[in-house]
This record gives sequence, structure tokens and C-alpha cells, in this order.
Amino acid sequence: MHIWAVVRCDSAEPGRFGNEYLDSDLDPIVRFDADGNAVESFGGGMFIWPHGLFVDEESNVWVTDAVNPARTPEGSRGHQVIKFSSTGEELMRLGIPGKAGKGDYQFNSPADVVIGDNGNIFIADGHNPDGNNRVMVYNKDGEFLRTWGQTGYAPGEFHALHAMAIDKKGRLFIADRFNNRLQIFDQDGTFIAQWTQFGRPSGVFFDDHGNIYVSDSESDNVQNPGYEMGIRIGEAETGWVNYFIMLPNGDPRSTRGNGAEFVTVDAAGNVYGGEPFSRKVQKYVRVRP
Amino acid sequence: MRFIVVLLSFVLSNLILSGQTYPNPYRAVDTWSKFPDGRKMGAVGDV
Repeated sequence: MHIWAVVRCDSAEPGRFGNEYLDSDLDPIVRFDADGNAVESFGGGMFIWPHGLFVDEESNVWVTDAVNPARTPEGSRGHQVIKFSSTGEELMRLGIPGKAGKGDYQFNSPADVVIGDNGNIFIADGHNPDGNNRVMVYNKDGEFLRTWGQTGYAPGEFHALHAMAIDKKGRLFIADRFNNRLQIFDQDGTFIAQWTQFGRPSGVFFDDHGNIYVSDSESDNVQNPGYEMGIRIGEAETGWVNYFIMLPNGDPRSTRGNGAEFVTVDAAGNVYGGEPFSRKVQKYVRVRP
Repeated sequence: MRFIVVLLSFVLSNLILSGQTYPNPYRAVDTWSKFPDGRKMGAVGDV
């Protein structure tokens, strides 16, 4: 068992959240063993703000660079999605380095990436609420296929696509964070449904038992009043929420966002949250049936 | 009739209050992730 994670460098200076790797060559892509020890890493010098990560069926590791355009200097990094082998060999790049844009092969702070069963590449473009707000789709060779979405709050419109995941039925779930909802599509972009019962979604994950895990790092008195930060666990088929791991010490008066932005689950059912501000991969073990 | 109204009010208020009180069968494990070479953990993104 191992857990892959994007771990940014330790930039303690105020205001560095969002471009921590600008002046660092440390490796941001890290593999942890079952005991939480970092045992492998790569990707140093290739990102400014590594963000989304996906491990495909062939164990390749895909990572997005979601740096904001205003914080992107001229150069060879930013606004890209990079595919690595499991040992860190670069296999593919999508996006124009250092240049945010709206072209078919350009992104604006791509937040996440996921690969379909047929190898198609889905990219959440992207992180900024005033950005492209669209889904980009490529075939397995990186050739553009289609796109959908624009800024807004109607079905099929987005306000910051923070994460994506595909369930066992092939439905594409998108964490439409600033709209406080999950949107569900088929892989051609046809809208299926929207769910709000999982809070203000930052991350989405499906296990092999029909469960959906949604991390909510930003619900507070301003951005999603009435909801608490934490990880909600429910049924992928019906959307029914069954469990809630509330963020300890989560304060709804703070709009900083403190909880897990991303979530994954190992084969034993342990839950792992990627927490930016507390700087840790938080593990949760199940202690009740 | 009055009893039924009171009972319904009680049930509805509890349903609203319990809107997010789902069970939590998990417990947190402290300080799980770590670097062996002294590198400090930074902000964590996707996992």
C-alpha cells in the first residue's frame, strides 16, 4: 500500500501560499508508505504550484500546475499538466508553459486531471473563479477532443472547478467549489445532476464499494453558511450522505479554509485528507463498523 | 390535536438540527506523514 501526494515546500513566509515552488527545486510529488514515510519523490523544478494529482491504471502519475496567472513569471512552468511514469520519467505535457489562455491546448490554472477507462484525459480548467471555468478533454495521445462549460451558476456552468473524479458507472463528478455543488456529467459533457448535500466540495474520491468521499475545506459562515468543514461519505448511486468526519477545530468564522482539500482511501478503508494549511496528510482509521 | 402539533414541531426541529449530525466511525491518526531526511512538510495538495 502506498499513498501519492502533492507536497509543497515549506515556505513559511506570509503570502507564499499559491507559488511555493517558484524558487525551490524540492520534489513535490511524493509517495508515502503504509507507515507514512516518504519513500520516493520526483518533479523538482517543474512546477510553481503543483495541485491536482491522478494515478492511472498503468500507475502513471499525472499532476497539474494551478499557479494563478498573476503569479506566473515568464518561463517554462505553470498552466500545465504533466504525465510521469511511476518512477518519475516525464511522458507527456499538455498546456503552454507560463502562458494562461483559452485555446484548445491552453489552460488557466488547471486544478485537476482524471483519466477515463478509454484513456481520455479530462482536465479541470481551472482553479480560479474568474478563469476559464471549463472541462477540457483529450484522447490518450493528447489530441484535443472537446470542451464544455463557462463561468456561471446554471447547470453545465462553473465557478472554479477544483477537483474531478469518475465513478464506476463512468459519470464525471466535478467539484464546482464556488457554486457549492457537485456537478455530474457523462463523459461527453451531458449534464446529469447537481448535488449540494456534500457541502462546498474541494475534493472527490470513489472507492471500489460504491462510496463517494467529498472533502469540504471551505464551508463557513460566509462561503457556505450552515455547513461544517470536513469529509462527507455517502452512496455514489443515490447521493445519500451516511457519515461525516467533521474537521476538528474547524472555525466557521474563518474564511481561510482549513480542512482537507483532497481525499483518498486505501484498500483497507483508511481515509487520507490532503490538508494545505495544517501541512499534513491526515489519516483517519475506521474504528466502528 | 394540540398534542400532534407539538409532537410534529418537536420532530421537525430535531430533523433540522440534525441536518449534519451524521455518524463518524473514524478517528484521526496523529503525525502520520513525515519525511525521513529532515525535510519539513509543506502545504499538501491532491492525494
